[in-house]
Amino acid sequence: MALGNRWNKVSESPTRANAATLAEELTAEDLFTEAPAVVDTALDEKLRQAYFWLVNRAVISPFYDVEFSTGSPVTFELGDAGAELHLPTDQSYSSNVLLPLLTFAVGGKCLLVGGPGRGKTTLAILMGVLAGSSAREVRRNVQQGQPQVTVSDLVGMPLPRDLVTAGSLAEIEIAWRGWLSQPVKIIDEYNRIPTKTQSALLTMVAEGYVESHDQMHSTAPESGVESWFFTANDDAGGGTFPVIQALRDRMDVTVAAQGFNNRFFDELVARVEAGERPEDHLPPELIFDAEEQRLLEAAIRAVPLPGAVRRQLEFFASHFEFVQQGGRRFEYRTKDTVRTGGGEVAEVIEANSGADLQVDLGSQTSNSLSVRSLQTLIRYAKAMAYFRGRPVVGLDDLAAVLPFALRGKLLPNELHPRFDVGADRELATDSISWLADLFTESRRQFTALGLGGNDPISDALDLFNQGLDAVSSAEAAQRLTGIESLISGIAKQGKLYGRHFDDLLALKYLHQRYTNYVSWLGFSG
Amino acid sequence: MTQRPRHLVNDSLELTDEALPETTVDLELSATRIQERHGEAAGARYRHFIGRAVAAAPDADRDDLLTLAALAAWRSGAPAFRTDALRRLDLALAAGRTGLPALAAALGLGEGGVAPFAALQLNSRFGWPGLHAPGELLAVIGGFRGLYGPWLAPPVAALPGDRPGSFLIRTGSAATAEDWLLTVDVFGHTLVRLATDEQGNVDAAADARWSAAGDTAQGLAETGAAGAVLTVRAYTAQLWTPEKSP
Repeated sequence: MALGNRWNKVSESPTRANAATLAEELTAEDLFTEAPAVVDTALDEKLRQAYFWLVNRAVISPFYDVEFSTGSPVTFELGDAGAELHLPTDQSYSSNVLLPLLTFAVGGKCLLVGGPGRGKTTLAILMGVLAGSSAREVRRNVQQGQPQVTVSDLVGMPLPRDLVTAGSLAEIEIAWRGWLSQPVKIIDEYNRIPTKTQSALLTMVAEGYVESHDQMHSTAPESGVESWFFTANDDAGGGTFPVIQALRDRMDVTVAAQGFNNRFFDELVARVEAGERPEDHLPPELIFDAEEQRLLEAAIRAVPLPGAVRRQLEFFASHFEFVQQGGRRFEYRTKDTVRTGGGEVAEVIEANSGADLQVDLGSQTSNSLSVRSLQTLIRYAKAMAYFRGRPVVGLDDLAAVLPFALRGKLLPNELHPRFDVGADRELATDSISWLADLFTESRRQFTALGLGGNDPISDALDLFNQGLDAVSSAEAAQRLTGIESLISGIAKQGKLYGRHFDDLLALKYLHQRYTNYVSWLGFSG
Repeated sequence: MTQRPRHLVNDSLELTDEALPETTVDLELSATRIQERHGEAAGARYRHFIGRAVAAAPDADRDDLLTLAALAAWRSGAPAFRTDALRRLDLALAAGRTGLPALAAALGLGEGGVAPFAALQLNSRFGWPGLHAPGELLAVIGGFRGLYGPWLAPPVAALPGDRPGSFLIRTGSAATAEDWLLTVDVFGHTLVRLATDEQGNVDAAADARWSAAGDTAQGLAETGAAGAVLTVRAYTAQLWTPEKSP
């Protein structure tokens, strides 16, 4: 067998077993029919086949850190420092391959971090090849971050002829760089790019266009779905130039490239001997054409997020905005008030002696979640569910992507006792484990508070959302009393946590709407 | 003693592993299909039965070969082929087309056993010559995952399914409970874990049904009479012929 043929092995369908895969009735003819060709498979199946090709053939990544289990996985305690090895019972995945692939599917932005030589750029190039470009073309279009790179280097330059003859900026034609309209855009070592050039990059990433000499150019490819891959060997603010916060915030997911497992040396030797690179051998049936990319993105967007899962996400996000002594008026008692006012969030949290820091999840972070982060989280949770062939987003899908979507966005409060002393100190640097733990604890609190079955504030919002038509003045007054009763109930608890902040503001909102309605009824007679 | 999944009809089988003959249909492909769906043991049984059947019918045409393949596939432990195999068997016996020695070889029976087997199957998918005494063990299903079975926790209850030859099995309890759909006949079975509710919420009606379920379930035969009894014990489920034969 020619050595090159080993690349052509694509996982046979179905890559994920479920009840639907075992047909109830088959005939003899089915025994002599080839398995459906990859081109005929559904896009989620094709995406999984691409994943398994990447993880088994292209990048040697025998890591299964995105774990899924039904029931309890077998767990081993290892060493004397609390290490645990889980053996998941359901199909589990390698984050450093899966998250970039989901980024490709949703048209997102992925930051790959890790030391040199860990396959970050190779993985990004493979995503470009998946989108239909040749490996050579993708490699040529990789933008190398280095201290001398200018805005013109990135976007292109005006034609010299026009610079001489043009009477106005509008007459200047720009020779835009070819990489700008590629479906997969790769910026290598983005933390080595000068600050001014980073700002130009931000416009492209955030707005989807570039501007030069009063001319604009859209970066959207034919499919309308563009994904960005950035690499950096540091995620803690290091690098030749500090990454501007707005650009860092645009990274939808951050994934660490894993080290090489030396038990897989034979594959490494084979590659050295053959002089081969995986991106040159992607099986053509795994390539997503422009129409498939568009359909894939639309299909992911359409995966429903059930109300029960959404409620858990709402509850999780509610922990982080509120800080007891962040302001005077209730609405301004937020971390953002402290931060924008030049204060230190960690110190304000530490000054709050009323709440139990062990229970108050909000005290573990120095900031709150942005709307953009939450949108990203929803999008990737949908992508995860789609990738797993699930009809709706599950809590396990959400839990799987949450640490990667919030890494670098939800920041640890380093003065919190958890990071300062005790058994959890390593979580200050292992943000993926910390964020996963934070969500697990939030789910535990949600269950302990019985919010899945009894949530009077959700009930009050639902009641209001049914509309006010035919609601009498007496009925509205009764609802107002009910709202005041709910607020009173929270007030009686004494301690105040982040979850109460959103609830109280929602109740205030309802109170205001009903008050206005009652006034209007009185006015209109 | 550790119980391993098995069907009693296979207990005395001595499998041959000879190369499949060249025919007008791709027998290697069909063997691969069976192995993919039901594992290596079923694949080996299929190769054994189809190999012997084709050897007994050297002049078989395509339709004969399909009949033999359907029978061998079913006999190797693939219940999904039962309907097609029985239809083809009836046609072959009625028309005298495919030779009786080949049909018998595909089923692992003697020539005299084919017609009685077909008659038994009319009443029950668990019918097999010499395996119809009341309370006789037909199959052992499941097993602990550490010993190559599918289950992490022992089965605790069984319910009859809504189709002949189907049963529901619950393993584990409370938060670790999982429900499985068993489709079974005398030659083989499929066991599929049913999707769980995303929130872990248990449907009240289903929960009540499971609460009332015991460790024994009486399944349906083809004619609606009792087909087989499923009991759960330790890490396996056992399938028995009914105490009173239908």
